[in-house]
Parts: sequence; C-alpha cells; structure tokens
Amino acid sequence: MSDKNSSMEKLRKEFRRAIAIAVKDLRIYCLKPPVILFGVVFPFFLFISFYIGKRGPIASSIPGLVGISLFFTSSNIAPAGMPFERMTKTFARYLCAPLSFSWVVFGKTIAGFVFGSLLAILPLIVGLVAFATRITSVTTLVFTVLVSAMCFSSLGTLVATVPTEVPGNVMTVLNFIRLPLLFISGIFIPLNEMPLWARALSSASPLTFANDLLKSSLGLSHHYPLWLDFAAVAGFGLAFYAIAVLLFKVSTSAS
Amino acid sequence: MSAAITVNNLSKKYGTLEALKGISFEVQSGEIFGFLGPNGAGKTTTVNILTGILRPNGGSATILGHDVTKDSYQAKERIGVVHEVSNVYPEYSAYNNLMFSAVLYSVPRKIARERVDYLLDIFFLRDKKYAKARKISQGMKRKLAIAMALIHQPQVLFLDEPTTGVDIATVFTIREIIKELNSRGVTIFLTTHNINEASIICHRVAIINKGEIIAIDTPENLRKAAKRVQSVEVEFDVPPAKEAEILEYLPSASKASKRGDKLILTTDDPHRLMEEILEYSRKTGCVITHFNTPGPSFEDVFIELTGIKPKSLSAMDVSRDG
Repeated sequence: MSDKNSSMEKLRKEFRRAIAIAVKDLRIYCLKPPVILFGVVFPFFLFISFYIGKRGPIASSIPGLVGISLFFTSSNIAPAGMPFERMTKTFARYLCAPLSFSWVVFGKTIAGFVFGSLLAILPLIVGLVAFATRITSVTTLVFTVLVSAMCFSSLGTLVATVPTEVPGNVMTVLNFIRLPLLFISGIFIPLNEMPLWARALSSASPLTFANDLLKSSLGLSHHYPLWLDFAAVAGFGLAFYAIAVLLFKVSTSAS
Repeated sequence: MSAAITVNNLSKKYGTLEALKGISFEVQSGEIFGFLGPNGAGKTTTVNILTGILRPNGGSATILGHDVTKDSYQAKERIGVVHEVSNVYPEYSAYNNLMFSAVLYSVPRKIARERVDYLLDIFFLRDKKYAKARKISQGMKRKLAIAMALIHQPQVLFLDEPTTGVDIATVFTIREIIKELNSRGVTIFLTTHNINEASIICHRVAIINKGEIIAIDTPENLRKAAKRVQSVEVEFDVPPAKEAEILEYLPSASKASKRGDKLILTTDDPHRLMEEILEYSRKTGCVITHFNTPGPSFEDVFIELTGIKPKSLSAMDVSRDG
C-alpha cells in the first residue's frame, strides 16, 4: 500500500473512531441531569425572565432564543461527560487507543454539535408555528446553526479540559465563561443600541455573530455583513478547538 | 525469539521527583512477564509510557518494533490494555461496552459481534449481555474490562493488577484465560502486587523499586539467588504456645512465624537448625509431624530485594532481636 493510501486509511479509521466517541457520548450523556439542567432548563428560563422584562413582540426574540439554545446545549455535552469519564477512568481508554488527541477532541465536539443542532430546532418550530416567525434564507439558517453549534461545542470541549472528576466544577467554570459572553452578545440589548465601547466588547463573544446571522436568516435587521459573521464564528470555533487539543495534551501529560 | 517490548534507558520525572531512573529491559514475544514493585516504585508510570498515556523524559521504548512515542499509532493498534480500575462505561451494557471497544480498534461489525459472543461465553457473562455495567458485580466488571481489551485480538496485552479485588473464582478464571492467551502467542505484561500470582504464572519477573529495576529473572532463579534467606518448615504434634518459646531452644533460628499449624523458621544455617529441632523434639517429647526445607519463598526474595518489611509481618513474626 502506498504512503498516500496508508495515510487515507489511517484518517478514515480515526474519523470512524471519533464518530464512535460522539455516538457513545450522545447515548450516555445527553439525558444526564447537568445537561438537561444547564443546557435546556436554565437557558430557557433565563430567556423568559429577560423577555418578560423587555415586553417586545416575541417573534423578534425568536433568533435570540434559538441562539441561547444553541449556545447552551452545544457547549454542555463534553463538560458533563468528561469529568465523569475521569472519575470512572474510562477517559484512559481514548489515550490507549490508536487515536490522536485532535480526533478525541473532534469526537467530543461532534457530540455537542449534534445535540445542540437538534435542540435548536425546538424553539425555531415554536417560533414558526406559534409566533409567525419566517425564514428568509434557509441556507443561511442551516449554515448558521451548523457552524455555530460546532463553535459552541468546541468551547464546551475546551472548558472540559479542566482536570476534575466533579461535573459541577466544570459547569461552574463553563457558566463563568458563558454568562458574560451571553450578556455582551446583543441578544438582550441590540448591538445598535449599545455604546461604542460595549459594541467593541461584544465582538469578544462568538454568540454576537451567531445571533446576527440568526437575525438575518429569520428576516430581522442585522448588524455585520454575513461573511464577517460566518468568518468570526468559524474563527472562534477553530481557536477553541485548537486550544482544547493543546490543553488536553498538557493536562494529560501533567497528570 | 524476538523482543515484543524493549525498554531502553527510560526515564520520567514529575517535577523534581524522578519516577523512573533510566530503566532498561526486554520482554520476549510469547512471554508472560511480571512487573513487581511496591507502591510508588514506578510500575504504573512504566505501563503508562508503554501504553502511550504518558511521554517519557528520556530513553525509548518499542512495542513489536514500533516506538511508543514516535510511532504510537502503530504500537497502540497492537496492544490491549486492562487498567487497574475496571474502567467500563457504567451506563452501557456489556454488549455495548464490547462493541464500543471494537469500533475504537476498527474491528468490522460482523466479526465484532462474533467475538463479543465468544468473549461473553469464555468470561461467563452471557446472561449479562444486555445488563448495564453499573448493575453487575465487581468481578464481572473486571472480566468485562479484560474482554474489552481482547476484542481486537492484541498481540501484546498489558494487565494492571488484574485479580485485585475480585473473588477467588474470578481469579482462577482470569489466570486460566491469561495462560490460554499466552499459549496462543499473546505476550503478557502483568503488573501485580501479588507475588505468589507472579511466581505461579509468569515466565520471568522484573522487580522495580524507587524507579530502578533491581532484579530480572525467572521466579525460580530469583529464589535460588537469594541464598542468604533460608527457611525451615516444621510441625509438631503439640505446637509450642508461643513462637518466642521455641527460639530459646534453637539458637540458629533468627526468626519464627506461624503459618497455620506450621512454624516457619528463618536461618542462615539450615543444617545446624535441623539438628537443634531434633534436639528440641527429644528434650520436650514433641513429635515432629512435618518437616520441610522449602528454601526462600518468592515473597522472601521480594522483601529482601526491595528492603520492604511490612508492618503486619513485623507484628506477626518473632525475631531474636525482638
């Protein structure tokens, strides 16, 4: 077998192994209490409480609800599962398997990506059915959901590198990061109503750009050009992914 | 016979602590190799480096010719690892645990299903096929963890304390399976605290202490090498009430301990001690019902080489020095 074929075969095998990790994570962790509580219930009630305070038309808030849902559900699977796997020592299985760190991180991230993408459909259906939300660009919407879910899931995987066996510890760190990113994102205060310094600060949150894309695909006015939104979300995602791989290597060799 | 595992001048540091101080050894293909040592000696660090979990600070190691750091993918495809803890997925059934392991090692689905059934049979887990792992006993989890390591038919199997914390029936099952695998050509690297187990099933053993290999040989040769430690096993029809009592009559014995009804006497002059025991028998009228000079046990060798004397042993033994 030539080197090229051999490399392709290795790549194919590692991809399948990573997908197996993702499937296993989805089957085991998506119904775990921390995932349901911090990934579904918490963001929903957070949104409701802010919506009641805002008193605007609910249809204009649907992109925000979809964005929050994507943000919290996608980033929740790895942080819920990894400490548990450290506790049961099942994490060591990945380290002994013929699989590089980057593929392990990929598998973990795919689990959050699938979970987040699927759950984002729920508020969208509610908006379409009950509040006359209309989709102006299906393509933009699909790409937005997919790219954003991957980005937020990478953030979750990055936080899951915190070397602890207690899921609560990771969730605390995760929420410590997620909540500020949510508040500066323009979901609760639109970007064009923010002072210049706050708008500059909002660009530190990937949710800002994801929300902008969701607004655009659901027929609402958006702030940035679409290409910039996509580039920003994808850029954040790649950075989270790369840092997650690096931190996994560091935390594993230190343990 | 070719080397399945080669370790050359391997070192590992955790901060300032030197966990491995440049150890070297070889394990031949088809061998059952025991790796013994007290806690903190460097056993797990060695295994973790060989299985790709840790990177060494110096030296090298290969598995079937593949460097464990530079060519870890190839090395990992050929090994099976049973960790000290039975790390099965508690929310998964025995079947799903095994199938997940099969996917991790790219075993085709149809072949994996056949192997799952075979492994469940030989480990007596057939009736637990669809039971969640969290609901099965510790012994069953241990067997499941071993089965998971065998699903891809590895050429080298690492077993870390495989029989710790399981019932005696499971211990025998695991030992039999280790021997069976070995008879089919699988190289076994067995890390254990159980000295007797190592002497029963291992072809060769290495003893590691404080990050250094202090002996490598067959269990029998290690026993022979430890000539300073000699023991005499004796049983009387009326056993002495206290071990200290008999030491007064046996000046050649340095230590006495009880193992069931037998007295184990340690000496550096067994011939003279035999004469003293006969003299004791004549004087006291106690009839000797059993007499044996088994030589040093593997445990004696281990204790002598590592310099470890467990507190419990000190408390049970009566030495002349008190």
